[in-house]
Amino acid sequence: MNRRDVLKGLGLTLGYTIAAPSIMSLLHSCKTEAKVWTPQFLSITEGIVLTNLVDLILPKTETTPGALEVNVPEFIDLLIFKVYEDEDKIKLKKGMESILKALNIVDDNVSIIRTENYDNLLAKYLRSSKEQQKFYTHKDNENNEDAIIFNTLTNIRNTSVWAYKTSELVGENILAYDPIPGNQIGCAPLEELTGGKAWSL
Amino acid sequence: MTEEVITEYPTTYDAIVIGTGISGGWAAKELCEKGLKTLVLERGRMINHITDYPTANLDPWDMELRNNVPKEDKARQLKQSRTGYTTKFESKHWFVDDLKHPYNETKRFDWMRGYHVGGRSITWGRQSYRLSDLDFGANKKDGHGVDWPIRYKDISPWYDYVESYIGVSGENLGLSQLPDGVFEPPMELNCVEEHLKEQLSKNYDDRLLTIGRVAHINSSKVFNGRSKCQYRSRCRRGCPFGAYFSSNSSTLPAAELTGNMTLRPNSIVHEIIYDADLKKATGVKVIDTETKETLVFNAKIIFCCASSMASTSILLQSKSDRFPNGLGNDSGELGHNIMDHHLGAGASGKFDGYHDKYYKGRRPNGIYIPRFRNLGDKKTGHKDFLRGYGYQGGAGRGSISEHVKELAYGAEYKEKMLEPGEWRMGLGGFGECLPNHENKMTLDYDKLDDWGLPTITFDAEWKENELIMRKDMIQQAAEMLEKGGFKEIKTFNNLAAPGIGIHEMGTARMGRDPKTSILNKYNQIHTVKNVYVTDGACMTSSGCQNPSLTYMAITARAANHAAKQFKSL
Repeated sequence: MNRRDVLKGLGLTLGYTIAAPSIMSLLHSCKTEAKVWTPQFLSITEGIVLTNLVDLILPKTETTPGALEVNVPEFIDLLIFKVYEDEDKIKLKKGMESILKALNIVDDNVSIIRTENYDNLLAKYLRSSKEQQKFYTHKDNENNEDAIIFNTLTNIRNTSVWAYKTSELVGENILAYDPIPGNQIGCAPLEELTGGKAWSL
Repeated sequence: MTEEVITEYPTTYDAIVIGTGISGGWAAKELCEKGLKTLVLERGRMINHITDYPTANLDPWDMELRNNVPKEDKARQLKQSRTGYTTKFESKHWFVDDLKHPYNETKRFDWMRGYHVGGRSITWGRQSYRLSDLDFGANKKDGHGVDWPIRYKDISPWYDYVESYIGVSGENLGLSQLPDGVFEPPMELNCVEEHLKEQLSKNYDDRLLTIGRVAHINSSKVFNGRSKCQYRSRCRRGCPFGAYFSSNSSTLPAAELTGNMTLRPNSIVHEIIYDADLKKATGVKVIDTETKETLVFNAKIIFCCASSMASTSILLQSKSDRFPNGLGNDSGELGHNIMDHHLGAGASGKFDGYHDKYYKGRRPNGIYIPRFRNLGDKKTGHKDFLRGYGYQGGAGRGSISEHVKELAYGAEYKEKMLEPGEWRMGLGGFGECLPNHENKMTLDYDKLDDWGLPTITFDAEWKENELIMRKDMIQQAAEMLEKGGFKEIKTFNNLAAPGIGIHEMGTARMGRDPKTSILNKYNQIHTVKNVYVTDGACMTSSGCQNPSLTYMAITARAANHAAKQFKSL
């Protein structure tokens, strides 16, 4: 069954990755908020790739939870499945295919892809020079393979940030949460108001 | 349609009000408070204040798709979603299903509608500005459209009356082009807005920046069960505190309290019945959307407050031997002179500084820069265009700053993006639109809706004066930000189509001459004096101010006139 495949894929990855604790949290859902999930839009392999990328984009740290703890990959898959227009779905699918190709993923070998492979991919594109990024985002280059990867990774990164910040755990406990402010202050020291954090809502 | 069975109700009401939005609510309140037995008809479903605001308290994570809408639902609101903000999950239930409620576009027209009790008074932007004599005299001065039959002095007491009742938070400035009002305490500017305000005063002697004037209670004063703004900025969902004005929170409960109101939802008015012998309207034809029956209700006075385009559509459908082209349409102007405000032109910029400053409360309001062009003197005259515009906008700490962006991803990136981003400020113009006979709506009797009623076809566009004005809107916004020390200034020009301002108006205009207008100075149809039209359809020119406050004042004035007339009927 699909779920077993997911577990198998992740499980085999564990031995090779330094991001193991986060992925463990994905497996041991009883210990955290994270759920084991079966993708609705993505393939199992793509789901694993997305999970690994998102874990590197917003990793768990000592101070704050990682994106996997608030089920960001699962939510991204749901969003694509339910909200994306067909045209955007096709674009995303094409982007995932290009990412898989860049990671040399063929057949069932996703389990041998190491964290450093994912990290190299993210660094190569998301930390590319400004000129390079200008090229990637230019309309004329939308069919360029590198541009496709860059734009898909950017989309995943941006959606991850938004999904992370609008999750209950982060929205209520990490960011400054004030559902009913009651009054307004136009200008005051940041430290005093939120201790340096952004407002959640 | 099959053979029509019409049930005529025996009761004759003193007054009928068609529509429950901003205007209908006010007509209902005033007429009922003056003792008139009033039937209030609404085509959509019932919405009770507070209990029928299903999304009012939802946090993003309480919504499965975090305020997004499944694509199947979106496909039913493709026109309603043209604004980009109306059909989010939080407020999509306040906008119609476009497949059930179609209209036709010879030219694109963005017609946003809310079919339910309260109408768009639930979702309105709440910006409340008075028109001035600069506006009431504009058509006469430059010859576009016809002269308004009223001046500021006629409506000024009604602005006072309405503002005192609904609560408008704002600041008096003593400007002739933007008259002072009766205000609740103003909301606060944030530090970057305050900075631009100072810079404008330093760099210009013809313009200033103020906090927006919004229909919110901002004090401990009691407003009949409504209370102070809690700064949640979830207004568009319906406010459980009743902090901003809506028909549901304010005027309809007041009308209800008199015992004189009969509110009937699910009732589509499609015709006003005219009696040629009496030279008066005697009632309205209604389709009950639940029983599918056609009903007739009679009354001595009829108020059309169905929204500009819908009221006009009802009048166009009200054909008789005397009025073959629609009730009161001797002039041929009914359906013509569509106006809206053109917006989406301006600039934004980044501000370096105030990194240690922030704000508290989600202020449901922005800043306002009152009109400074063509005020009637040489100095403010602009050679390329007529009329003028104001700016709305604001500053905030939103986007991720450059150096965080460069981190791109990873642990440090994650920690940094939890902090407030850089300050950015935007200014967007709200420009006046000239009345033009060519901009019109008509009825298509070949394309009928589910009720067998004709659908509206729009044929309107922005004309030269609007397009030229936009260049100045953009240029001045960029210049003010630049002089204010803002960096990375980006201009924008999202023209969109008429309707996008959701200020559509002008299709049954007031005027002095029955040959060129539909309504007289009290909003009565020139030739059918017991029919009043007091929604946006009555507007003779558009000004550049958000119009709802004017609809309220005009409606209150007309309803009080009608109540006086009623006693002599």
